[in-house]
Formats: sequence, structure tokens, C-alpha cells
Amino acid sequence: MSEVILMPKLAMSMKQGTLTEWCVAEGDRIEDGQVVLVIETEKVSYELEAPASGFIHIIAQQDETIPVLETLAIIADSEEELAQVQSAGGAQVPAVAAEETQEETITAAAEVGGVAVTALKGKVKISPLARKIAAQHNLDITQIDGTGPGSRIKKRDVVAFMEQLAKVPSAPVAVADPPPTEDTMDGKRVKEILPMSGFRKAMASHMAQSWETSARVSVFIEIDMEELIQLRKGLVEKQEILGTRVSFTDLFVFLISRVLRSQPLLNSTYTNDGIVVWEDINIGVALSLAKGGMDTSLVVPVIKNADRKSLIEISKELKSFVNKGREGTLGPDDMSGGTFTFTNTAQLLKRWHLQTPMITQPESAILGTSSTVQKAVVKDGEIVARPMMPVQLSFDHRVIDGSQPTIFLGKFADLIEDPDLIWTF
Amino acid sequence: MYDVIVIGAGPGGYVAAIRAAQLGLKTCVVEKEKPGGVCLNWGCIPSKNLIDQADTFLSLPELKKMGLKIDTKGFDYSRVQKKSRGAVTRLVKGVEFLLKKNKVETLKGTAQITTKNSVKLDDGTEIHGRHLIVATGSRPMEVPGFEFDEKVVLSSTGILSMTSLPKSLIILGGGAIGCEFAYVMTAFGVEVTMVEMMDHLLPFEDEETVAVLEGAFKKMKIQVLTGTRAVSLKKSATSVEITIQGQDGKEKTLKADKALCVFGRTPNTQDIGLENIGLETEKGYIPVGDFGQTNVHGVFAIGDVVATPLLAHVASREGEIVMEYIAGLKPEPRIALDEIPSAIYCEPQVASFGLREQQAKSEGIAYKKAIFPYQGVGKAVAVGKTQGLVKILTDPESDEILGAHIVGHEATELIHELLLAKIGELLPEDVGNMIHAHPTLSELSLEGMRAVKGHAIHN
Repeated sequence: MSEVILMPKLAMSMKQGTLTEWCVAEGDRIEDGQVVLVIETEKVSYELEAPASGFIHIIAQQDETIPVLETLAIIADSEEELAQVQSAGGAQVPAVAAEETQEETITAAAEVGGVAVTALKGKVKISPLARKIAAQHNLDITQIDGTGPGSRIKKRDVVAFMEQLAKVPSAPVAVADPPPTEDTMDGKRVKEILPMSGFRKAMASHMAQSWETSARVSVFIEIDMEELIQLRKGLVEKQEILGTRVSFTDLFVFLISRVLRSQPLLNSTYTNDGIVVWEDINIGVALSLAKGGMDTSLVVPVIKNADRKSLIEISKELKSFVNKGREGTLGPDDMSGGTFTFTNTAQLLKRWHLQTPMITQPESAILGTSSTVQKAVVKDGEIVARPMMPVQLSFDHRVIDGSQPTIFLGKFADLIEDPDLIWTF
Repeated sequence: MYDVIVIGAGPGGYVAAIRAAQLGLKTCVVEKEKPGGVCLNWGCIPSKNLIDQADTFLSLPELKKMGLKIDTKGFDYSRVQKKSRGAVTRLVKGVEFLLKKNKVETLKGTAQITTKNSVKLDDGTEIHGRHLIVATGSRPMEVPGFEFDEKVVLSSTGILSMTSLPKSLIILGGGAIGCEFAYVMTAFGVEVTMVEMMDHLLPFEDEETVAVLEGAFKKMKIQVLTGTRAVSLKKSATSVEITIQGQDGKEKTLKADKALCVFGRTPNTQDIGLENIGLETEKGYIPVGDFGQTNVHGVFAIGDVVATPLLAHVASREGEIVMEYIAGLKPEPRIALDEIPSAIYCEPQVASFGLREQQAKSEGIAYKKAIFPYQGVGKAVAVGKTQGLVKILTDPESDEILGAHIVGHEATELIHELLLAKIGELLPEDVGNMIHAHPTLSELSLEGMRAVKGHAIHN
């Protein structure tokens, strides 16, 4: 039976994509994982890999713009099937089962629905009724465990399988076969070759695009954290009552959301037709699910309407995102719709450091904080040791001039150094 | 020390005991009367024998048609009853033999549970077992105002012991037992009136099949009063007077020689010592979880003491499940209710399993129905048994068999082909394409399944 290649949904908001290049020809023999075509959206250029080996029958043409989840091509198992498919004009097969992978996901990750319809008939022990129901729902019976006599698949097993599928988080990514490692390349010894698949590719292309499009400028300040440290201590002591252990990140997200209300230009998106200033304040919080080694695991779940949520709500939501991130169950809805990003590198390095954060497309600004360290500062004419935290705001100068960000940082710093002022927001 | 002690040797207990012995468990069964329980001694078996003899008696007109002259003056019902006891004795001996052959220790006496591992017998001795299985069955339900005297007010036990026929009989209760006795008694010439509270006989069967049975009973001149309840009973040494109330609220009085009260059955869970192990009953039944386990560890319950359908074959299967579980095998934890066949043996017989049409309608379950009449089956026409039909309910999307109902000759045998198709998750075409020997009554199933797909041949 054949497999289909569908237009992938590369982002929640994506409705269609353009097939910019066919890398193979009609009827070619292709391999599982081989790049067969290139898709472009406004944000991203994506190389799509074949979900199976076989003979390809092309349906969508080069430079055609096709809606998401429509059929681009069919991969036939054999040449006879190819002939059949070619004469039938290519049937549309709806996407059903999603493939599971081990990769983490970010907003730009690809969602590809693969369909494997009744593979090995006659080799799977399955009751006639169960086989019929599986066929009606386009399920791959080789994936179903049977609990009947002699491990026969019964209706209940098919039903349980369908319930499982409904729970599988979407946004899986087609994984390419790792290319063979070479010992040396260009005269230098190779340690390891990390495949440019899915997540890595998406991050690379996103960062490149961010760099190329936005006129990124960064501005830095330092904030005296003494008051906020005390405030937070008090909140942590009350964690039983509050129902959550408030973190500094929770506090920063809360404060940013309130300050953005008065500095709305930092909560916007640049488009050719104009700058969209968003009403919703959705703050993406960059989380590094550090696994060590050379694994990249950056996710940015979004706290929607952060300005209308209480500190406690923000805290609980963030914790649930962290757990989901660790379990790998963050979905595209969790990570899309952001209007501003916050990133905190304090966990990674306890020394004083600065960063120049990249702006998450299509936002216009990103705020980063790093470790608080005791520094010598002058207060009331005296040199004292104070806990100082560096803060970095990168903004898109196409959208924002220098005054907005500096005013924003000033307000942010004021709120932190004098928490009583939060009553005025 | 036994591995299992089974209390009661009815169809639940003795089957469980034999299965246990097959699985290598040291087994003991305690029975206060005869092995085989009510089913063998005062239920299923004698009644089937009586039905068979009633069938024979009813073939008199056919014999006359052959030119024979039959003198019915010498008819002696006590001989009929005696023959039924003969069938019982043979089967009881058979069960005793099976228990012995499988080396199951059989003790006579009334068991009293003293602890969860011990049972006291009549003579005071105590036996011990790692597991206890309560299989003490049920007895006819006695309703206040209608107490049995087994002279003019009979229970099912009483009517099976009867050695002479009354002229007239009122049967209170239109379930399986009531219908079967109505048939037998009518066959032997008794004037029978049936009183049933629900709006049709056999309240748990599909309306369409019951309608055929009610039609047959009408032809036999059995007076059937449905939607009617028995209000009170008055009796003398030789007759009964029963006040009934119909749906119009008006009261009427029925008179007859005897009354048979078959309102239902009630579990035997009193006076067996359940209180000694803290086992509480609910409405008389012992609550059980998976594998027949009670909430006392190591104590199980099966058969009529459990609130699953009060059928011998359910008891037997429950007994097997318990023993297989104890022996470490992995049987199904519970019996699927829609896979239990019901069987009523009067003529025409009624048999079914699974979803009923009325039930589907009231529960909003989508279904498709197919009917095929006995009239379309060659064998049925050849032997003059054309009264009846098969009705199959399937899922409209997947063709899954949801329920099947047969009324007609040998329905209780024929139901099994359809039940097997359901359990094996076969599709209608699997049965519809199988070659059935011609001419057989089984072609009813063949055509019924073809009718599901819309292409029955002989209709």
C-alpha cells in the first residue's frame, strides 16, 4: 500500500505553503528520509524528507501554493502500484496517525502526518471485525497490540489504539537517517556529526532569519535586587498558602507584562503593511531543558494574556510548562502566539554575565536577565555591596526607536527596586 | 489442608471443583443435599425432561393422522413425573462419578464458615482450606401472602414433585420457569392461566420474539394476562383463589385447583456463617470484584449467590474463572454480560444474547436489524416447524454483531452459532458465506446473516 506526503503544518498559524522545488522526478525510486521537495512559508524554508521508500508519484507542482495537510505526492510500494496510482490520478488520503519521535519541539517545528494503511495483511493475527474497524479508520494494524487468544487483535485493542493516538502530542518531526560519520573532513579530525534534522534545523533557520530581518540593537542596565529578594523570600515562606513556590522568573514575567501595558510598541510585530501593535500580551519564556552534551533543547512556551494573570497563576502555568517540557509533551499551541519573549540565563552561569539575545520572530523585543551577584556600588555617597542583576533588552530598531526600550527598562528597574510601585500599575 | 473448599455442589460448585482438580488443586466440596444442586435435581434437568415428554404427548394428533387409534384413558401422570426423576438420578450419579474420578473430596453436610480458611460441618469437625468458594445457590422466592405449602400453593420444586395433575393451574410469574411449566401443564391437558406483571411474558427477552411465543401460547389456549399483578391469595385444601389487578386498576378473582408461584429466586446466603468473616451481603447477594473475589481475601463467590444472571451456565463459567485465577492462569476477570445466552425450552423455544431492540432504542444505541423467518428454512417446512424467526442486531458502521434473538424449534441449540460469531468478532459475511448443510435448521443463521447484508435468498 502507498504512503502519502502531505503539506506539513510548520506553525500553528500556517495555512498554506509554497512548493518551491522538487528535488526528485516523477516515478523516481526514493529512500526513506531522502529530501524530496522544498517548501517555503513567509517565515521558513523547509526541506521535506520522504516518510518511506518507494516510487514517487508527484501531485503538487513546483511553485504551487498548497493548503496545509493536502497531498503533495504519493509513494507507491512497487512499480505496479505506481502505475495504478498514476492512472488513478492520485487519490487523496487523509492524514491520520502521527509518528512519534524523541526530539523536543519549538514553535517552528514541523507537523507531518504519515499514513501507513494496512501493511502486512495475513501476517497479523486480527479478528475480522477488528480488521474492518481498523480499515475504516485508516490504522496501521502492525502497530496494534492484541490481547485476544494467541495475542489476536480484537475490537477492544483497536479502540484502545485509537484512544492512544488521540493523546499523542502533535508536532512530531521527520527524522533523517544519521549520515555516516567520517573520521576526518577538510584535513581536520571529526568528533561527531550531528544530523541537521527537525529541531536543530528549525532553530538554525529561525535564528538566521531573525538575524537577517530585524535591525537588532541591545541595551543593558543593572538592577539592585535587594528589595525583590526580600519580597520573594516572603512569598516563598507563604508557598503553602499560595499553592506555588514563586520563582524570580515568575516575578519577572509578571512585571514585564504590566510594564508592557504602558510601553505597547515593544509588544508588536513588523509587517510590510505596518506595525501590528498587539492587544494581547503573550510572553514566551525561554526554557532550556538542558540534557548536557551536544543536545540542544530550547523551548519557548507562551503564557498567554500574562498581563491579566495574577502572579500565582503565572507561577503555576510556568511550572506546568516546565513539567511538560521535561516530559516532551509541549504542543504547538503551548508555544505559539507569543508577542514578547523573556529569557533568564541565571541558572546556567552563576557569574556576572551579559548576553545579546536574539529576537524571537515575529516579535519586536526580548528581555534577558542573568545572574545576580554581589557588586560594589555607590549608595548615598558610600560604597556598599549590593546584589546586582544585569538586564539586557534587544529590540528591533525598524519598529522601535531608542527611547521606548530605555523607558521600558527604567520602569522595569523601578518596579524591582521599589516593589511598592506595583500598586500604581 | 485443602487448596480450595467449595461450598455447594450445584452447576457452579461441582464444575469449579472439577476444574480445580484438573489444575492440580487439592479440592473438597461440601454439599448438604445431592450433587448437581437445584439445576440437576429441582430445576433445569427435570423440567427439560418433562418438556420432552410433553412434546411426545403433543404428537398424539400426528399419530392419529397416520391412522392409529390412541386410547388415552390409561394416562398416568405419576409415570411422567417418575421418568423425570429417573433422568435426574442418572445425572446425579454422573456428577458423583466425575467428582470421584477427578479425586475431589465430597463431604455431605451443611457448611458453616468459621474463618476465612475454615468450614465447620454438621458433626462439628472443621476442615481447612487456603481458599473458600461460596456456591450455595438460590431457592424459589417466597412472597408474603403467597407462601408455599407445596400442596395447593407450589414452588418450582413442588410442581416437579407433583404426581398427579390438577384440572386447572394459575401460574404467577411469566418468566422462563413460568412459561416452561405453562407449556408442560397445558400439553398434558391442564387449564392454565398465566399472570405476569410486566407488559409481556419473558420480560428480559426481545419483544418481537416474545410476541411469537405469546401467539403460540394463545393457540394452545393458555390464558395469558400480562400487565397484571397478583394482589392476594386465599386457599382451601383443594383450591386457590387469587385476586389480580390489571392495568385498568380493576380487581378480578381467578379460581383454580392449584397455584404455581414463580416470582423469582433468592440467594442462599443466610446461615452459612458469612458474618463470621465479616462478609456483608447486598440484597442477599455477595458483592464480588474481578475473578469472583469477595472483599475477604481468599474467599470467592460464584453462581446464584452473586448478582450476575441466575443461570447455571453462568455459575459454571464463574466457577472455572475462579479456579483458573487461583491456579495462576489468566482467565477473563469478568463474564461479558452480552455474551451470555439465555434459553427457554417451551415450544417454540426462545434463545438470545446481547442487545435487545427496545434496549437499543431506549439507550440511544445505533443499530441495524435483520429478520429471517423459519418459513424460509427448508428443514423447518419439511418437519412442520415453521413458527418462529431469527432477529440479528448489528452496528450500522462496522457490522459488529450486537445481539441475536431466535424463537422457534431448537432455538436453544441454534443460538450458539451466532454467539460464536459474536465472540470471535466475525463479520456477517463470515457466517453468510459459510456453507451450511442443507436441509438443516442452521440455515436460519446462514440466511439471517445474509439478511444483515441485504441478500437473503429464501425470503
